[in-house]
Amino acid sequence: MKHQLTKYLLFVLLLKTISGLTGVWRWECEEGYCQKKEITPDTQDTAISLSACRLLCSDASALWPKPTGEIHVGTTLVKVNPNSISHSGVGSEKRSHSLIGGAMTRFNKQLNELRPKTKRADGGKTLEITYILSDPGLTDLTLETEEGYALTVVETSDGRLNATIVADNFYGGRNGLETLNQLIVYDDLREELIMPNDISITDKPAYPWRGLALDTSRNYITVDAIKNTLSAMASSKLNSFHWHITDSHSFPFTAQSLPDLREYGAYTPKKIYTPEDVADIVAHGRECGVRVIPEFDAPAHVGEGWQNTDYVVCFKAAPWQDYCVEPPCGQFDPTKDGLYDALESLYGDMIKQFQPTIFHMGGDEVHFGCWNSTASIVEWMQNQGWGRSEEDFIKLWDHFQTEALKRLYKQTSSNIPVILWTSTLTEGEYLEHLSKDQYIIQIWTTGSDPQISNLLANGYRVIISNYDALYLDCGFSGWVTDGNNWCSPYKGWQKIYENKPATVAGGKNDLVLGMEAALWTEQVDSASVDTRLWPRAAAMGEVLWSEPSNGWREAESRMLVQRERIINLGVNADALEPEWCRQYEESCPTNGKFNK
Amino acid sequence: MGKAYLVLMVILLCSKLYESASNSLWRWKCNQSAGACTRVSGDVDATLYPSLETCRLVCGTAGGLWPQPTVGTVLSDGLFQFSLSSLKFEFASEDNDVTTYLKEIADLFNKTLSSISASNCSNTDNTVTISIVVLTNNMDLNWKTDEGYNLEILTAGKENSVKISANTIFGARHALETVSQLIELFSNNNGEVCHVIVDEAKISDAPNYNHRGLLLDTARNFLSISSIKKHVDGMAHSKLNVLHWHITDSQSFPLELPTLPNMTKYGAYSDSKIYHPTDIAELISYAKLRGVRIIIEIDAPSHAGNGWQWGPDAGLGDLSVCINQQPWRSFCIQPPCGQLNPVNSNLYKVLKDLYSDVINMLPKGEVFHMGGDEVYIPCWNSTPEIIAYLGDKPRTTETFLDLWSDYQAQALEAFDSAVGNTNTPIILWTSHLTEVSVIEKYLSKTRYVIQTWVPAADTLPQNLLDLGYQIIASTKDTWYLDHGFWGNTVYHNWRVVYNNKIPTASGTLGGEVCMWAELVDDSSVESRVWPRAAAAAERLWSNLKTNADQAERRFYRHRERLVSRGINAEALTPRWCYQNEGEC
Repeated sequence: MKHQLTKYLLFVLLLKTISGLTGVWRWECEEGYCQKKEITPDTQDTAISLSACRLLCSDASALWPKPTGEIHVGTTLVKVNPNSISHSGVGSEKRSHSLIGGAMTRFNKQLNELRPKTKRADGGKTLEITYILSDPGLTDLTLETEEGYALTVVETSDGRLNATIVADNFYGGRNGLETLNQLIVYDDLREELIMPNDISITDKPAYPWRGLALDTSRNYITVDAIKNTLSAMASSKLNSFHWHITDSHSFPFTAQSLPDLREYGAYTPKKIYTPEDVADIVAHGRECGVRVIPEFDAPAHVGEGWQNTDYVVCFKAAPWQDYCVEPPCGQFDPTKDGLYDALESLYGDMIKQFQPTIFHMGGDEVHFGCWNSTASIVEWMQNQGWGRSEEDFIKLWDHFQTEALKRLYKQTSSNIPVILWTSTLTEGEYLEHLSKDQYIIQIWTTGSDPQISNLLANGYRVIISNYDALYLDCGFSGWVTDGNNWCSPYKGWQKIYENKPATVAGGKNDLVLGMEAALWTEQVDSASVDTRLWPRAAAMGEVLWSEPSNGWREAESRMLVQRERIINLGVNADALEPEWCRQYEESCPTNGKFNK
Repeated sequence: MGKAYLVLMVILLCSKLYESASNSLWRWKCNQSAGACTRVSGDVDATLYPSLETCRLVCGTAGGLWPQPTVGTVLSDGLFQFSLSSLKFEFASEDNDVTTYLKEIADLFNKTLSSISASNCSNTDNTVTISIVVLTNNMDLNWKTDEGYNLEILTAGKENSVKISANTIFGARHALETVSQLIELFSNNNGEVCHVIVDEAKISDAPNYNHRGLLLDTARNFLSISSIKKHVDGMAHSKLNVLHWHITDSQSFPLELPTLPNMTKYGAYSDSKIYHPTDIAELISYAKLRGVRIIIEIDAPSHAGNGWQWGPDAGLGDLSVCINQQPWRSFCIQPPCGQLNPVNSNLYKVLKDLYSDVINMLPKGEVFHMGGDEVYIPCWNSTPEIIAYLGDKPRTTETFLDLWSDYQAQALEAFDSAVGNTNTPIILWTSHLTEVSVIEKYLSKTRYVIQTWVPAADTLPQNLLDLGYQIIASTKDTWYLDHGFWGNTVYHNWRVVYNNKIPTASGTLGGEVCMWAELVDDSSVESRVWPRAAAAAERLWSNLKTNADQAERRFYRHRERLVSRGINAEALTPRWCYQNEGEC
C-alpha cells in the first residue's frame, strides 16, 4: 500500500515559508519508487528529500527488519527537536531503569549523528517517550524472553509528539525504540530532523536466536570494535553475540584463577581482554538488547596459553596436517585428571565475568590422529579395555565432554543450556552421548547436509550456521594454501537473505532457535572487521526477525537504507552498489523495474 | 631546527603507544640461513631480539624491506640505538626547490617514525645523521624520472651516519622510505624503549618499471579527499608512483570545473560530494611529496552521462545521449547509460573548456587519460540525431568505429588546442579501436599509450608492443581489485596479485591495479586495496623471478607496517603465523 502524499505536501507548503531549500534534486514517489527529479520553480514548494520520500514511499517505510504485525505510518511529517526528547515509565527502583537510560543515550546519540555537524540548530517538536513494561525487573535475555513491542506515536493538541512503547520487558521496549529511531530521518533539503506524527506498529521476532559469532583468537579484535559490532547488531535487532574468545592460536581472555593462560597465550601484553573489558562489553550488549555468550572451545582448538601445563598434546605438532585442521595444533588430553580442575576454574571465571544464560562449549574438529599419536593416551585407553577405532575415540571424547559438563554445572547456579558445534559426536548414532535437553547443536555444515535432518528427527534444538551462506570469512585469500580460502566464494548479502531457516530445516522450524552468521578471523582483524560483518549480518537479521516469504529483490531498496543506518553508527559497513542506485532505485542494476 | 623539534614533540605526545614486546615473555631469534625469526621464551641473551619487528629488520637477505631493493642489499645484523631527538638531517644541495622538498620529506620521515613512538629513551649520546645528496635539480615526476638511489649506513662509536645519494628528489624520497623500514623500536631490559637502526647497510636500488600505479574510481561511489590521501600514503610506503584517478563516469561527475559549473551541479551525488580545484591542487602537492603523480582520467565518449544533461537548456543540444535511458541493457554495459554525442559540434567546444580546466589543475606537461572503453554502438545507433548525421552510410560496426575515431580525433584536437602543444601523451584503454588489426588505422603510436585490461592469457599486450605501442598493463584477472564480490569473478588474493608478471619489453611503461568502486566507498575501500596493491608494487618495482612464497615474511611485515602507519590494510593470516614464521 502506498501512502497519500497530499497531506504532507500541504504541510511542506506551510513549512516553505520559514526555510529555503538546499540542493537541485528532489524525490517523488512514483510507481512505488522514489524517483530523482530536478527542482523547478513549480515544484519548489512540494519538493521532498530522499529520506522523507523513503518514509512515505518505501515498503514498510524502509524499516529493517520489517515489522511482523500491523504497520501504520502516517503521511504527515513534522520537525522534531533532538534536544527535547524525554522518557518515562520505568522508575529508578526498577532493575531495568539503567538499561533504559543506556538505550536512550544511544538513541539520542544516533539522532545527533544523522545531522551534519554544522547543522545542529535547535527547534522542532518535543518528543516524549513513555514505556509501559509488564516486567520492568527483567534484565536477562533468555530463550523465553518476549522481545515484541507495540509502538504508537500521536501528536497532542498542543503540538508535542507522544510515543508509547508497550512491551513485556526492557528487551521488547528497546526494540520498539529502535523502530522509532528508524522513523526519524534527516531531511537534507530543509536541514532538519523529521518524523511521522502518526504511527502504530506491532512487532515481534520469528526466532529467539539471532546471532553473530566472532573469533578473537586467530586475530585480536579491539574492545571498541566489539562494542561497535554490538551497536550494529542492535540496529538490525540481532540479539546474540557468540564470542569465540580463545583458540589454539592465542588466549586473550583473563582467567583470574589461571593467570598463566593469558600471560603465555596473548599475542602481546596489549592484546588481552581484562575482566573490566568483559564487563564493559556485557553491559553494552544488554543496552543493545544483545546477550553475550562466551565459548570455550574444547577439547580441540586449544594450544597457546597452556604451555605451562601438561594438559595439551600435539601442541604445534608438525606436519600439522597429521594432527589438526589448521596450525597451530593442540588438543586437550582427556586422561589427565588435573585438566578438569583447571577447566572448572576457567569456567568459574567465565561464568563470573559473563553471567551468561547459555554457555558454548565448542567441541568441533577433534582430530583423532592427535590422540592416537600420544602414547600415554593410547595406554590409558588400553587400560579401559578400549581399542583404537573411531568408536573408542568417541568414548574418550564423551568422557571429556561428560566430565567437562559436570565441572561447568558446578560453577553455574542452574543447569543452563549448553551449545556444541556439529562434529563427529553429533553424527548418526553417536548423538546418543548428548542429552537433547541439555545440549543445543549449532550446525556449521552446508545447508543441505543430512546431519541436519538427523538432529531434528531426534528432537535436538538447533542454531543454524550453515557455512555455505553464513560464514562471512569466505572468499578471501587462503593462508595455508596458495588459492583462496576453503569456503570460497564470498557470500553476498543476497545469498544470506535467501538462506531461510524453514528451507534448511526442511519444515521442522519448531526446533530451530535461529541462526548465527560467523566470522572466523584468520584473515580479519580490527582493520577490516566492520566491512566483513556489515551490512551482510543485517540481511540475516531480517530473515530471522521477519521470516520474510519474499526474496532479496523485494528487500533491496530497504537494505540500501539499512546500510546507511549502520554507517551512521560509525561502523564501516561495505558498500553494496554505486550511490547512483540509492538515488535512482527504480533503475538499480539488481532490482530496478527495468530488470524484472 | 628549533621549530621542527617543537612539532616533533607534539607528535610524540599524540601518537599511539607502539605495541612493544617489553613485559613480554617472548623473544625472537634470527636463523639467517632460513631467513626466519623464531619465537623463543626464556633468558635474555644478547643474540635475541626483543620483538619480531627488530628481528625482521635484519633477518634474511632483504630484512623487512618492501619492495625488495633491486641492485644490491647488504644488511648487518647489528642494531644501533638512538633517541629520535638525536636524529639530524644534512642536505648538500644548493638548489632551493630541491632543498625545500628534502626538508619537507625529512619532516614526513620524522612524522612516520614518531608514529611508532618511544617515549622514554634516555640514550642521547648516540646520534644518527642522515645526509642526502641530490645530483640534479629536476623536480618533475614522469616516465623518464630516475627514481634510483644509493644508500649506505655506517656506525663509528656513538655516531651512526646514513648517506643517501640520488639523481632526483624522488630517488632521495624512496631512499628515505627505505631508511624508515630499517628503523624499529627496541625495548631495553631497563624498561626503556628507544629507536634502533640497522648499524651497517649498503643498498643500491632502482625500479624496474617507471609507471607503478593504483587506479581509484570516484564516480561509482565518491571517495573523500582524506580517504584518497590514505591511499597516497600507502603508495608512498610501497613505492608506487602513479595515482590514476578515474574521476568521472556515467554515474556521477564530482569534479568541479570553473568554466563548466553545470557538470557538478547536475552530476555530483550531493553538494558535499564534489572535488574542488583547491582539493585537486592540495592533493597533487600532497602526492608529490610522497613520490606519487596524479593522472586524471575523464572517460569518454562512453561512461559519460550524469553531469552532461544541461546541453539542451544551454542551447547547445544534446552533449551526451542515452543518459539514464532504460531498459539499460539495450543502451549500455552498466547502468546508468550515457555516451557523448559525437555529431554535435558544440560538444568539442565544451570538451576544450573541460580539458582547459583540467590542464590548469595539473603540473605542466602531465599526461592525460581519455578513457575510451566500452563504447556501446546500439546507443548511438538508436539516436535519431546520429542516424540522420550518418545519412546514407550503412550503419555497420565499421561505420560506427569510424564515427568513434572521428570523435577521438576531434577530442584530441580540442585537447591540443587547450594545452597549446601537440605532443602531450594520451592514455586510452583497450577497446574495439585498439584491436591489432585496426589500431594503426585509428590511433597514432607516438601520441597514444594503451592501457590493457585483458586477462593474463590474452596476447594483446604483447601484440601491441610488437606493433611499437607503449603499454600499461592492468591484467584483469589478477589486478582488478573489485573482483570476487560480483558475478562469477574470483577474489585475487595477494599471491595472485604478486605472481602476475607483465611484459618486460621496453615499451611496457608499467602497470596498475584497479579499484573499480561499484561495491566500495570510504567505508571499505582501504581494506579492499591494501595490502594487495603493495603486492603489485613489489612486482613493478623489483620484478623478482621468485614468487609470493619467498616474499611472504616481508609482505606480512609490510602489512603490519601499513596498519601501524594508519592504513586499514586487510589481515592476511592469523597473527600466530606472523609471530611464528615458517610454521603455517
